[in-house]
Amino acid sequence: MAHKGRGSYDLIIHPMTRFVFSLSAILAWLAPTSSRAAEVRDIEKVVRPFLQKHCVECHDADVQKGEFRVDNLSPKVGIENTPQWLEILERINTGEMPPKKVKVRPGADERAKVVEWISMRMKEGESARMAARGRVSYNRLTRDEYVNTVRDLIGVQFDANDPGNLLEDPEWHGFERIGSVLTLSPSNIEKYLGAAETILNEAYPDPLPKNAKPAPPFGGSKPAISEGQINGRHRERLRELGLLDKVRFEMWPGDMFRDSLLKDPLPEPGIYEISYTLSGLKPEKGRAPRLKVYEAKLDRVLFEQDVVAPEDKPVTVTFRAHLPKGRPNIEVYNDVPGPPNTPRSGRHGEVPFISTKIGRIPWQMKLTDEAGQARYPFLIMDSISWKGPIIEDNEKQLRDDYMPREESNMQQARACLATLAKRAFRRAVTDEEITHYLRIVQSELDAKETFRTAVKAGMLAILNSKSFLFIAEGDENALRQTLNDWEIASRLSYLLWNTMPDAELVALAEQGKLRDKTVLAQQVARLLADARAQRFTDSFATQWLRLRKVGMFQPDKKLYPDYDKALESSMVGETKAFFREVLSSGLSLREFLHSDWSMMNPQLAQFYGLPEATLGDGDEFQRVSLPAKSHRGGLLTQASILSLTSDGVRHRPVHRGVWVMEAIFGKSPPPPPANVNPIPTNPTGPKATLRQKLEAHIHDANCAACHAKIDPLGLAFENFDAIGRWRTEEVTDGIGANPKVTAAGSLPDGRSYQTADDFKKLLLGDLDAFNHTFIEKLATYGLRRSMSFSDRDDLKTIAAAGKAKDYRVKDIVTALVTSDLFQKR
Amino acid sequence: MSNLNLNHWQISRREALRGLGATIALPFLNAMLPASARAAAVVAPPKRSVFLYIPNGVNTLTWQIEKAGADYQFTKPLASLEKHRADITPISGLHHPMVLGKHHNCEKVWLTGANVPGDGGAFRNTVSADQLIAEVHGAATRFSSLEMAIEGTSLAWSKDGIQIPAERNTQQIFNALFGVERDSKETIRRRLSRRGSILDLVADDAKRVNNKLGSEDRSKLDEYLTAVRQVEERTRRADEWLNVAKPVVPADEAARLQRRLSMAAAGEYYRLFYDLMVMALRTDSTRVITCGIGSEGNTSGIPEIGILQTRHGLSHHNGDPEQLRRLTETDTFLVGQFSYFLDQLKKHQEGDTPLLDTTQVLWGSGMAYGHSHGNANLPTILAGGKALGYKHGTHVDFNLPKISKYNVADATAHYQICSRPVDGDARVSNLLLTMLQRADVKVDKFQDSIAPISQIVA
Repeated sequence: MAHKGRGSYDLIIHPMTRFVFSLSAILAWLAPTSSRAAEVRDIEKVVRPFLQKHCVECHDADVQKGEFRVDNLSPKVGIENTPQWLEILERINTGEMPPKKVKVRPGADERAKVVEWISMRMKEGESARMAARGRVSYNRLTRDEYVNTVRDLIGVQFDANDPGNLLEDPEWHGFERIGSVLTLSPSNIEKYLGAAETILNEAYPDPLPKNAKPAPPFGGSKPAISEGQINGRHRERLRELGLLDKVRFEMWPGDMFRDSLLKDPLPEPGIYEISYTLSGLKPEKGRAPRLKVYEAKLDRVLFEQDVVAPEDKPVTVTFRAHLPKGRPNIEVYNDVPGPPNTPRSGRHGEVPFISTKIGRIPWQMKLTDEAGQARYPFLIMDSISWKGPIIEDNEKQLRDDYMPREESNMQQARACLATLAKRAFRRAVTDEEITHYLRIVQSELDAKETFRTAVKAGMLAILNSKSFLFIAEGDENALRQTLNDWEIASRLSYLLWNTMPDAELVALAEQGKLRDKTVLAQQVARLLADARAQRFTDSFATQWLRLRKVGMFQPDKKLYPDYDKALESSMVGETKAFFREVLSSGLSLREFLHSDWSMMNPQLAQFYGLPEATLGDGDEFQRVSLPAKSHRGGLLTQASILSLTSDGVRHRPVHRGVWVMEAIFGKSPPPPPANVNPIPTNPTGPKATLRQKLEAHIHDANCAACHAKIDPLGLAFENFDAIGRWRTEEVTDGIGANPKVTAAGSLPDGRSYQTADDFKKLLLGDLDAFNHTFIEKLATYGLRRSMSFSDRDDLKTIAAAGKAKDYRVKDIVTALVTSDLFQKR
Repeated sequence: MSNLNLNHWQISRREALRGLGATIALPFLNAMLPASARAAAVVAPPKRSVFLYIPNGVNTLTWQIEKAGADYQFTKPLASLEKHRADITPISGLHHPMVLGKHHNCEKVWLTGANVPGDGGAFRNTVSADQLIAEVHGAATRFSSLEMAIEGTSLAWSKDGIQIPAERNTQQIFNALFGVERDSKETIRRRLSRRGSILDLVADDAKRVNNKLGSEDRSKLDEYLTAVRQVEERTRRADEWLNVAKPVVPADEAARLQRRLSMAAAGEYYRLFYDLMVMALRTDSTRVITCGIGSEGNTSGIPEIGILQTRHGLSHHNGDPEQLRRLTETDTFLVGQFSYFLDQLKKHQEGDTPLLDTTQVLWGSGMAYGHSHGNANLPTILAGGKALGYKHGTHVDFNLPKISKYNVADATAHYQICSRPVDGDARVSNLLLTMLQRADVKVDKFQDSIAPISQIVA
């Protein structure tokens, strides 16, 4: 389908096949504008002449066509007259205005310049509005923060993601903790009420009635297959052979084991320790078997891990899970692809399993090959044991802190509620505040509730008050620009640990020492050295790099049969582990762009075609050096990033370009113009690559101007398919040979890239732009708001500090925390 | 007066329930109703509204009904609706003016028509039509409205433009509607009253601070206060409904409605949601339901018709005949499920009136030609609600008066119709306005509506 000519537009259609863009030109376009003063100049230079020449004739005070004037608009674009400027933007962008009938119409490049300029101002305006703050900023706790905070406050694990519990939080450009975006609906409040009731009932269960017999202690072991489950004939046979206690439960790929529970139900909600003793046989050239323990009622995976252990040397794997009271609905899987459980292969016959050495029934498929090696990944289960509920001493202590020791002692109730409120609100509390909460206690007592229940009602109120659910910054009585010590403690603690400040931070806040930058630097070092810092690395990496999008578009099962949830979590695992390694080993930002190492586990190494030998049998990530021709290194060619910018069927070069632009250069391209002509379908031959189709598509001058800037940033990754596998040709429908892909692009100054590796090296040449982006992302995450003009100088100072430390990520984090910005609201 | 029970619909409804024998226990006696509900219940027969959203548009080439008026032919994907011809009106040519060409957020503004930013960034929505209806009819039932989603997100937005979360878990939906509380009535009442005083307290605490803040500083705290007040209201309402036993669903139906299913068997899974909706309406647990049938990004494939790709993937067919065929297949499948829903609403009667006649149902998408994010000429079907004053049986078409005839053989030309509105006045908001007015919401305008759609009103 040929592009229908639209008059003068045809003259300026870019020959998209010739990629003549300079990286420095892109960077210039991406670079922040220097100041408002320059903009006023720009509006006079760029926009005003355009409006004068093309618009004013119909849209001034005299004519006002369409009741629209452009001659009286505020030059503060993005701040004032926003609806009007948006209207202008869209009309010019779509080519609707100026109308076709006028004689002198602007060229596409002229329009693009104006559109781009207005669009940038709009974005800045949006950022400024998002960053706007009144006297007090209220930032609602995210779901993760709520869980961590409750755990550290009361010593109770709350399963926020279970059905019916807390709601998902909205995000903004990947960030999940932007205060202005985290809205609150009545459903949120209802869920918080329910959550707090559940949490307090677990912390303070109703005491047993006076004469009741205490339940026997819970726990013990059981075999995977009990005697009673064995067919009578075989039971007697095995008893005679002395093998009755050697019966095991063999699990084919995909097989399920249902029998994990002891005789007694779980006596209380709480944390239980569960152990499985089992063997795991890995075929020589295949994946390791994978133990997956799933609670079906809660739709929650309790535990998963590859298990490799010889048949005669079973191992015991142990994990903890928080479970409700009663009988959980536990299903255990060997979660790895393989042949189906048809009668011929996996299905358990009547003959109990003892060993692979003992032959199976003739019509069943063999488990092992002639050399005795497993043909498929098997698990062989021996026994299960349970322990719990487990309450650690510090958790017990926390719970005891808030419950009066003496029945009906209101003085103690006051002291307990004050302790809880101070920790929960992350600040000092007044007597008056506590008096309000005591009133609830009293009204419950008046309603004939027990003292314990009444005090719990006071706690319930604290856990549902604004001061707990929101992290507040500022003072309702006066405008204050900087944070106080308490607020700094929270900001720091939620930044690096995703939870409330611990005792040391609280003590420092009380002593008024947290505005001291030396103290802050020490605290950063302390917090980062703690295991809880993984919450920061996981969470920040996820939000900055948009890792939640991995798997959002389920990869097509026919095209990518090897893709499963385990591989998906390994992909995400690599990126998170990579970030952690860069931070903890004192490496620089350069590693994110390109590196000669990465973090691998056996499954991912197999997927990438890298040597697995050194990785052992587990699925933990280890740092490995990458071979010379690995095509990997840095973030950009990790399977997670290449997948999340694809749609499950095809790779998406434009999405990849946008991702690079946002994650590395910190800029979002302008939105696609509304109302462009529909994209005609399949303009190229049936065996064309996506790149060829894309290049044929971008015939519309409205689109070309922006795509010229986006696409070269994504086309460098043509050698990677929709799940990030290396390829040299693109699989396309239709008959004939698949076309070769090309990842090459060239820059006008003679530099060119042939491959993604080349492209990554070019990116290394502009580390400062990336440094700036990284700091802006970190600050957005830490301060829970988007950065605006007024933050620009502070951000520059931090960038300079980072640069002085050779862009080491750990030093950049420290530079942010010890910056003036970190202490500002 | 309220105890006289002379209201026609109630008597016939009671009889109907008796007629069903043991199928459904009588949900409540009027005298047992809470005062707020009693007032509403006596006034008028129930007017019910259901909104069903499908993502990513359709294969518009095989979808388009070509003739307007009564003697139109159903196209292949719509064929299963033939038996409902007298109860439905397919509508062509509608669009939401403020979201044209913006592919993000289609499902978020389907029932609101609000303006959205083109880049998918944060925005504040406006109220959705279902919630305006719930304001009028919500008081009569245990749940003022029911938000659910098979996949994807909620269609319902509050007056403050905040999304009202949808439930995706069928067992949670069943439990909310029909589940028996484990605790005694007294325990629940104590819990509700405790919640009431706690909400009071935390609201007071927030108010004290709010009063000190300037009006511009208050948005977050206001949001909190509004939410707390609404939960207080819900708590009060729950307390009132405590005296009214939840409807008892017979064991066999309860077992069917509590099956654990997944998208692996998409048809059965869809029908489970539709059955839950029908049961919610039959038992008069609510009169307003929204259900997102799929998510724009990630609606699963449908293995039982051999299609494993996501609907999103299919919608970006790039003209590939095989992809287009599959897209038509999934369109056909989704319409088939919708037809099943209409069957069920027809099958269940209140007295002589099928449930379908008191239920207006809107089925549609916020996208038409997904491949290029064309969202004019939105696929839209209105069904049921004869008792609300609808006139069905024709294909209402806003394109034909201007283009005189369709030519889907010229794909590009048809895609153009699906990307840019032929008639700028043919707005989804007109239809939503019509539905609001049919449901007794006293409004003359909804979002950017121009006028109600007269062709469908009897």
